[in-house]
Amino acid sequence: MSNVRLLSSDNEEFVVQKEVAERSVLIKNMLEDVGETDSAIPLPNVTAKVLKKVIEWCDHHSSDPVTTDETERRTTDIDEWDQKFMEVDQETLFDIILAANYLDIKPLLDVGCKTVANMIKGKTAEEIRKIFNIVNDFTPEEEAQIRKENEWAEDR
Amino acid sequence: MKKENTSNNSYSSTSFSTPSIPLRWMPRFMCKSSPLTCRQSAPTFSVASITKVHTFGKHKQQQSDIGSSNNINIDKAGEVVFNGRHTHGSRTKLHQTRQRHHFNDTSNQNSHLNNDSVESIWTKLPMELIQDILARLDCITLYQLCLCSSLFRHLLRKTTMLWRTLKVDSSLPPGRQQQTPLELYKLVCFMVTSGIHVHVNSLVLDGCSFLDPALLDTLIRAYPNLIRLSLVHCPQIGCWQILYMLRASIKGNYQLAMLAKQYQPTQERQQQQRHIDDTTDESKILLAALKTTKQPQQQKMTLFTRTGFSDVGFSSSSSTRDHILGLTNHHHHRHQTHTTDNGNGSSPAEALLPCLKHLTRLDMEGAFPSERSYKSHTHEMYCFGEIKKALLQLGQHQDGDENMAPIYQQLSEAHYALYQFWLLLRSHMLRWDDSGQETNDNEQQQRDHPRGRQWQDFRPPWLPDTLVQFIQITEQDHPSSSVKIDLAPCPLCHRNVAPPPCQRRSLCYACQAPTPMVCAQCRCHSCHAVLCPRCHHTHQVRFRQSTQNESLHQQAFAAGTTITPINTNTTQQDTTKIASLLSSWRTLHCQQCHLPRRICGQPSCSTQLENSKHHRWTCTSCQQQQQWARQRKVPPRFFKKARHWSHWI
Repeated sequence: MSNVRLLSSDNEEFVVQKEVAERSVLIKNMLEDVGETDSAIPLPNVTAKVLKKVIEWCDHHSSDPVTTDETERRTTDIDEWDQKFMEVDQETLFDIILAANYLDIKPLLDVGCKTVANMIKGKTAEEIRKIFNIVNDFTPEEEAQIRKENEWAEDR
Repeated sequence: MKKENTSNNSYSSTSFSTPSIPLRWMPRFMCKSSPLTCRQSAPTFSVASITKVHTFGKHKQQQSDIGSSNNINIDKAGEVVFNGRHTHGSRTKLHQTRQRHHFNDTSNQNSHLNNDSVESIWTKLPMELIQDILARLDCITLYQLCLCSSLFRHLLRKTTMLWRTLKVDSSLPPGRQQQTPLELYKLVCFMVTSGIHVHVNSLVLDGCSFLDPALLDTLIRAYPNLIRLSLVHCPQIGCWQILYMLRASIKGNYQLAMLAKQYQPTQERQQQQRHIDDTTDESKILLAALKTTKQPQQQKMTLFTRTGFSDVGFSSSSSTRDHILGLTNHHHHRHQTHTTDNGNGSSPAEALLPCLKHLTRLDMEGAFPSERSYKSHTHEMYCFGEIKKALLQLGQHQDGDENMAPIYQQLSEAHYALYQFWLLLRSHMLRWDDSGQETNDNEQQQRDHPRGRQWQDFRPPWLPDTLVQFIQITEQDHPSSSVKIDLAPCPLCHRNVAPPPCQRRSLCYACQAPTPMVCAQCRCHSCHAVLCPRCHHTHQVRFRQSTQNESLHQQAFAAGTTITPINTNTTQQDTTKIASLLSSWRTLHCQQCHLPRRICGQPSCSTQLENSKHHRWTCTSCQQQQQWARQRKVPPRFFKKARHWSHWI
């Protein structure tokens, strides 16, 4: 089985099996275009740290069947391994999402988006602010509008 | 691998120079649709700049130096450390200054965040990814995001795609669920003031225990372009509420069209005035109209109120009912709007809002008495027929035509009594047919639904046309109906509702033949196992015989002589097996009202339903009555043991 060399943005090289690397549609297309080659595939938008995580995910899911049904992919729950895999700091999580988007690995992108969505789900505005360190920057007009919404709802 | 000097070829995130990568990589890479890749210029790269090599997969690591590098280390906790600095916990802060509309600003996507950065982590993501994440959230969480920061508020206002399907998450913790109705009202207000309420196509309120008729009323009036409404397993919304909601919508839409015609000149004048006076806001009028939900009771008491409104078994207080009933009360609306004039000088037409005009799908599973283990008193199919009738009218009465007299006449009380009698008669005929044709079953074997199909189309000549029409609407899919529903009459008993045969199919518990899903009364109450029509009728016959002679019954089942095989190739062993499986099916009756329920032979199902001491089962409505009596310390003799009507058939 042939290997593929991947080059991260910080110039670290990763040697992976071709079938693992081909979980990425971007890399798969590249390999189809170029054919067998010894040179490393540059991935300028992915750092070594993130690429390592992405390869780890691809390696674990290398034998998974490719789901073409968009709805099925979106609605399926995150499996246990993926949940553990995504237990990283927020910055890494968002970097993984970006990398999955760049490398065109839809299942990984789904897992990442689901993880972020689960972080937000069922939380109040204050809790979301805390989680993502968002500053409340409403203008007085907007605050007045929110107060109005509250009054309208409570007046019922 | 030896570390190379990377000073000349190092990758810089902020400044890119001319690409040094081979051109052969370019085509697919540069043409990729992702905004990330399209918006970036290619970085500088060369093999000379490689610092480390990692090997993945089943291969052994070649000079793996992960964790030994000066730049990257992995500590004991598994955290990656860059130059001795942990990346974990480097939470970033939003700009203190306002940074509106920058979510899709990808100019700094490659810039790596450091501890001192004050940019939000969300700003790293391109718009399409943010939308992808937000599309997975329920509407209450989306509203909470609107309250987080002006960035999110603005983004959510602009992204109308996110609001096409409003889904309320019913799995919230109880503490949050109490707040949900209030938050839904706030959401309505936010959406109406933002003008995004018109983009809502689908309203999914499945399993919402907090959803009451008043809230549903507000929601359906706030979103005039609803195509799909899903009310699956909402405990406070029963089949009668749905019927009233539909009738109210039909009547409201009609009145709205009439009033709009009547007040057209006034409206034109008002529109001209609105152009001049910018302070008049359309959303204010809409909100004021949405607020007028204090509705009086319907003046004309219909058949339902007398024949048992408490069919669905919950406390149908007049206040909650009025919200739905009052929607249609034209006199009240006229009076209210004339006196209050909405505070905005608007016409009465503006107080009435169009409802469900574009509805094409209504899901209401779990709203009918049989699905809730309540007593039905035959109203179930009547209500179902009326809902189907209303849906037909909803699709037809949209243009405000003057000839809007009801196409389908409402059943009179005599008709209703006749309908009940017809249901009873048909079920008798089904049974008589079962017992009478046991010996010559050759023709019956050819059919999928041996007796059901035969008597389903049975229309005695003494049935009035109105009733025949009603039965046809109830039991057949009308070709002109534009609204699809998720229920159909049960293919076995025709007395209760069941999922439509095309939607859900199962395997027969006894013969493993593909079978449409049946009503809650005909399937196993515990594990939802079903019998095919043939096995069901065979079981019915055997069951009646068994009540006459218990010992004979057992012998017949053991011998399996009267069980007709589904397949001609079925062996005697299979026949005996089917017979023994059928013999395990039993019918339980509620100890109070004798409401029948079936259980299959599996031990888990039996133990779950039966009280091992008394071998009795109590239906939900009787349990509620007992609970109510216990709370009020009412003596048990207060409640007479009334037998369910189906017991006498």
